[in-house]
Formats: sequence, C-alpha cells, structure tokens
Amino acid sequence: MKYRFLRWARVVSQIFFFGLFLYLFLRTGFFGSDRVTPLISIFFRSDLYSISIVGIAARTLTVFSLFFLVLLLLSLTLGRVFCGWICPMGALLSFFSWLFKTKKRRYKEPSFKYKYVILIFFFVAALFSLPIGTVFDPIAILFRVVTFVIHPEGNLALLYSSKAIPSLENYTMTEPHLFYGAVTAGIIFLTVLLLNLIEERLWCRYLCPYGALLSIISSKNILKLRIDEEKCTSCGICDAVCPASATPFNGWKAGECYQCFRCHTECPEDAIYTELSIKAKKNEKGIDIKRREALLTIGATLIAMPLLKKEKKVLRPPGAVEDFTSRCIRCSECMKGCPTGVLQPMSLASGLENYGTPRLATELSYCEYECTLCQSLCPSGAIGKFTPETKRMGVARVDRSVCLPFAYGEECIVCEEHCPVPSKAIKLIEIEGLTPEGEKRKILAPVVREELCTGCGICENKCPQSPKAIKIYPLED
Amino acid sequence: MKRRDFVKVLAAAVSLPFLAQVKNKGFEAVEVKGEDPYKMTWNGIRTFGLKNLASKGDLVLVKPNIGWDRTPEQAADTNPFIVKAIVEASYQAGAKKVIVFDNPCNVAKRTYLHSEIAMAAKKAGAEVIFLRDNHLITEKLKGEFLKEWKVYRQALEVDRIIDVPIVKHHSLARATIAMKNLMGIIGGRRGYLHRRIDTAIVDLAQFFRPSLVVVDAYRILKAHGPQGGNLSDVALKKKLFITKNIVAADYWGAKLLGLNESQMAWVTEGEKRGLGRRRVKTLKI
Repeated sequence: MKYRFLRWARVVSQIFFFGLFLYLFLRTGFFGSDRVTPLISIFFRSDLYSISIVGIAARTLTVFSLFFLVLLLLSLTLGRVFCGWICPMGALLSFFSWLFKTKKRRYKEPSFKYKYVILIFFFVAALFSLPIGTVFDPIAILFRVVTFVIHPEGNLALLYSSKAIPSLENYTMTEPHLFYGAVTAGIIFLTVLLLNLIEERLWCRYLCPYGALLSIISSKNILKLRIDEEKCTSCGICDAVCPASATPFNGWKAGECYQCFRCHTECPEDAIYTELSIKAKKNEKGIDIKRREALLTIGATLIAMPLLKKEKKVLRPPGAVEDFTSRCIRCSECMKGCPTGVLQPMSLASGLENYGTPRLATELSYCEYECTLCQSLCPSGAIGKFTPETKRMGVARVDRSVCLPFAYGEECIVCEEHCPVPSKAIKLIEIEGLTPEGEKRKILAPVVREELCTGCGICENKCPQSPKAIKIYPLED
Repeated sequence: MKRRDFVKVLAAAVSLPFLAQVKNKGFEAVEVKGEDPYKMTWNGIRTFGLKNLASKGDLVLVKPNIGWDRTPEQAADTNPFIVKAIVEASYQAGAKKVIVFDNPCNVAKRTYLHSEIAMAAKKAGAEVIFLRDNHLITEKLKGEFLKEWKVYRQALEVDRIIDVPIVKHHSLARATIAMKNLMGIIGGRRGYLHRRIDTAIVDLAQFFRPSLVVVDAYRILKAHGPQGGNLSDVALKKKLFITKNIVAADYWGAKLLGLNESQMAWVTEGEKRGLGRRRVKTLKI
C-alpha cells in the first residue's frame, strides 16, 4: 500500500518538475525587469554534473551554489532520486516509454560501463579546460531543443493560426527570433528520444553522463532495497520490470536504482521492502566499471585532447569572463532570455569546444544598450557582472568602400543615429563626398571612436547597405 | 487709469480666451506653457477645441514617439502624461477606440515600458499594440521619393491620426519633430529613407495627413539626438504646441531647437508642396 502510493507520488513528482521546467522556460526572458531571480535557472544552478565540470575546467569554486549542495545531499542520502523523481528529461523519456509501450526485455545482465566511460572522458576533458561534456547534459539537451526548435516553431504555428483566430496573435512573441543550430539540437534530442524505442529509458540507463555521476554519488545511499527471503519465490519479475536494470533480485545495484518503487508493487509476494540503513548487503553490486577500463579511458582521452583544442576569437555576450569557454555550461539560458535574439549558439564547425556556447551574432541582431538581463540568467557566472556602461563586446569598424557617404557621396547617418552611447561612439565628420556622377558634395560621414564603442552591433544591424558598411570585430588583446 | 477703465481692461483680458474658444477662428495653433504636462495638454486641447480630436465613432491612432529604450527624463520619447491626456480627450470627443503604437528602433517591449507610455495610454483606455511583421502591407504612397512602401495596416484602418512627436535634435534632418515621427508607422528598411530624408518625410506627411499635431516640448533633446542618453543634453522648456498644420508644428519645434531658416529643408519643402504655411497665428496660453 505504502509503496503503491510512493510509486504514484513519483509520477506526480515527475509531472510537477516537468511542468516547472516548462514554466521556468517560458519565464526566461524580459518581463519588465533586467534582473531576474536565480531561481529561474535552478535546474542548471543545481546541476551536479555540468556545474562540477565547469568548476574543474575553470578551476573555480564560485560556480557552486546552495541549490547544488541541496541536490548533492539528496543524492548522497536517498540515491539516484534526481533521475527518477526530478529530471525533466527522465520524465519525458518515461512518458514516451509509456506512450509507445516499449517492450520490457527479458532480464539479461546489462553492462552500464559506457556511461562511465563517457563520464570519465568528459571529466578528463574538463581538466584540460574543455567542458564539452556539458553539451550532453540531459537538461541542457532538453532546454536547447525547446529553445531552438519547439518554441520558435510553436510561435510560427500560432502566428499562422491567428489568420483564422485573430485572438491567438496575442500569445505570439512580439519580436520573434530564430536560432542557428536548431538542426543539431533537434538531432541530438531526437536521438535520445528514439533510443527509447529500443529499450525503456535507454539513454538514462546506459549513456547519460549526469546519470553516471549520480550513480557514483548515490551508490552508498541509505534508502536500501531489501528482499524478504522467506516470501521470495525467486520468480525474477522484479529484475524484469526494473526500468533501470538495477536487478533487485540478482544483487541490487544501489547506484542504478531510481527509487521508483515499481518492483515493490509488481512483486506478487510483496517480498520487497525498503529500509533506512547504512549497511550494504553482501550481494549488493557497486559501480559497473573495472579499474582497467577506467584507466584506459583516461589514457585515450589524454591522447585525444590536443586534437580538440582550437583557439579562435569570437564575439561573446556582454560581461563574458576571460575563460569563457571553460566557464560556460552550454545551457542556452542566455540565448532563450535575450530579448533581441543576438545571442546565438555556435556550431560544430567552430570547434567542439565552442559548440553550444553563445556568441554575439551581430549579423542577425544587436545587443540592447540598457539591457543587462543575461548576467542574471547565467547559472555559472560565465557572463559576469556588467552594467550598460561597462559593456565591451567588440569594436565597430567602417568599411569606406561600401559606406554610402564615403563610397557614393550619398546622405546616410543611420549608424550614428542608432548608436546608443550617450555621447555617441560614432562621430559624424564633414567630408567632401563624390557622387558616381562626379559631383562633389559636402556631406556627413561616420567615424568610430573606439574608446567609446561597446560593440553592441546596432550600427551593423541598422546599416542600410549590403554587405554592411559597418561591422563589429572582436577586441584585440 | 480710472477704476472703471481698469475693470474694463480686466474684463476684456479675462474674456478674450473664452471668446477665442467660442470662435476658434482667430488662431490656427495654441502654444501652451505650464508646469504640469498633463494639465497643459488638457488646457491646450480645451482651448483649441475638443472636437478637433475626434468625431463620434472614430477610430483614432495616437502616434507618440516611442522609438528608444530611454526614460521620460532623457527626452528621447514623448512625455507619457501628454499621451495620456490626448487619449482621454479623444474618448471624450467621441472616439470609439483609440490605439497607440510605434515601430521602435529598440526592442518594443522595452521602449513601451521604459518610456512609460504603454502604461499611461492603457490607463486612459487606449489599446496599446505591439506591431508584428505580418501587419505590414505594401501601400502606394505616391510620394516624390517614396512611391510605395511597407506600412502597418493599423495606420490605414484608422479614421484619424493624432501625431504626438517630441522635439529632438537629429544629426541629418537637424531636427526630428512631427513629420519624422510618422516614420514610426511604416516598416521595411527605414534606413533607406535617409538618402533623401527631407523629401521622404514630407511624402509621409502628405500621405498620412495627421488630423492633429501635438508637439511635446516639455523636455527637448538639444544634442546627441534622436536617442540622447545624457541628461545634460535635455532642456526643460515646459511648452506644448497644438495645431492641425504639420508644417507650422515642425517650424515651431525647429525654432525652439534654435535652427535658422536655412537649416529646415523639410519645412520649406512641406510648405512648397502645400501642406501648410510655417508661420501661423498662434494663441499663447
């Protein structure tokens, strides 16, 4: 009875946290204030996996927060409850398993080692200041696909439907923007989802590096599963129904168990129970990777690392810290929240270490001068503290061979007009312009005062010329 | 002066505005000076005649300048209290519905909020609209420079447009006032208009023909326009100008900014194309 209640409580908890995830997603953005509560990115702030990785990569303790400690304690004591009760990706995969009635395979001793191999690989990479493992954080995978694919597509669908039902238009974004990287985000997500068709929660069982970390942390938890051996008939149903292959009968794997209470309720003899205890039973099994395998993985990663690193100067969000690629957890919170859509994910072509990190895509949009929203969205402090006055992302340069007054002797002051710096980083000088007809005219033309330029890119964005006659370039050291 | 004469003069002085209000023929514009922008606007409208705002059942567009993500003190956007008074007065004059919008240069959500216009207009009962790209339709403007252009369909559906600009410095057109404010109801690549800005904004004024212009010079932006940012560039003038004549409105504003006659090409062009004369009989209150 108790276990039946707990089994359903788990489903309610999953629905709650999935709903919370979606709610926080929708509230990520500008709703009248440039400061938002850190709770908005609580899933990432408490993310044991990604936060540890950037902590190692950036060699800093400042990324760790109270939320992190809470989840750490929870995992140490109660086991892998995050995967079973909280993780929104896990909830989604559970739901899909239920929806598609994924066949429960007959019990076979599975090997969990791949997720540990993946985890070790990513942690060693983090030692080399390459936190690429955060790309495969399940919460980030979900957040990315919702940000880059589902939300913009949903917005388009609403806009299209508003032709028939005009009131729907009020629910669309006032300034919708599309994202680069929608395809890769979609492919990664779909892969994770479709793997589920082969086996229930296949991703969670065998691949998820966050899950692997939680397995290690929670392998000594005190919420122990026990079998009443007098009642047990050795039928093996518990092993077959377990969504985590934690084999309650054949030597319980404390680190794999989601604490879902399915085996308790499926057991025909009610022989399974849970008790609070620090003592492990004799036949309990530990982490499923051998020392030799772990060492091999570390060695292989060490050899692979130099191949991954590729330095390249790119435009970063305002307030980006020096070691931005090490600090960034690739969660896309800043990109979701950015009201102009100027923050865009970098593609795989820009190097694995840059994949999924935000850059300032001045060819698409610009950074709003007064806006400081992204710093309070960033869960890892990769976007540090800044004010409108201290923004310095890049510097504008005028291409005189394209610029209307310089090249054609035509009037245009659009860049200067839009320059948001109160005393104008773009100055107008009077030049003797030459029209294509050879006529000389005294006109105003723009020059950039680099010491005032924030690199916000509104000049590039509003320049009427194509290609743009003023562009933002990364700052030189 | 005898007491009797004094009383006569006093009576004449007091009754003059009332007489003017009844006739409404003696002047084409009202210049208001005062302390409170909200009260000033109401006084001005009452003097100029409430019926000039709307007829019964009209759909009215009140078009303030909400172009920039700045606060009212920075004088980059129209004063919210003036917008509020105009919306209220339009309803009182019989308008069925008043809408307020602008196609801003910054993010609309931010400009609407920080200019405080959205809140003020909503309080007065106006519908504040966020423009979207799917509202644009290509319209034949039949101008000298703008033959056709993308226009927000809401601006074409209304019965009247009340143009509520703020007086600001502009590095190319020298000043941005009533005619240039109309750039906020068109879409597309607006930067293109800067090639012949004076002709382009007269084209817009000729096509849209605002039925009333209320020029906000409570605060004006003297330099680093049109978006400003420095409070030292803002001058407190505490003035307001109400007229139906857009050329006179721009002339008045340009004069306030200290431009000389040769620096206002768009006023000259507007005058030449018959949009109105620059000097009009103005009642000062």
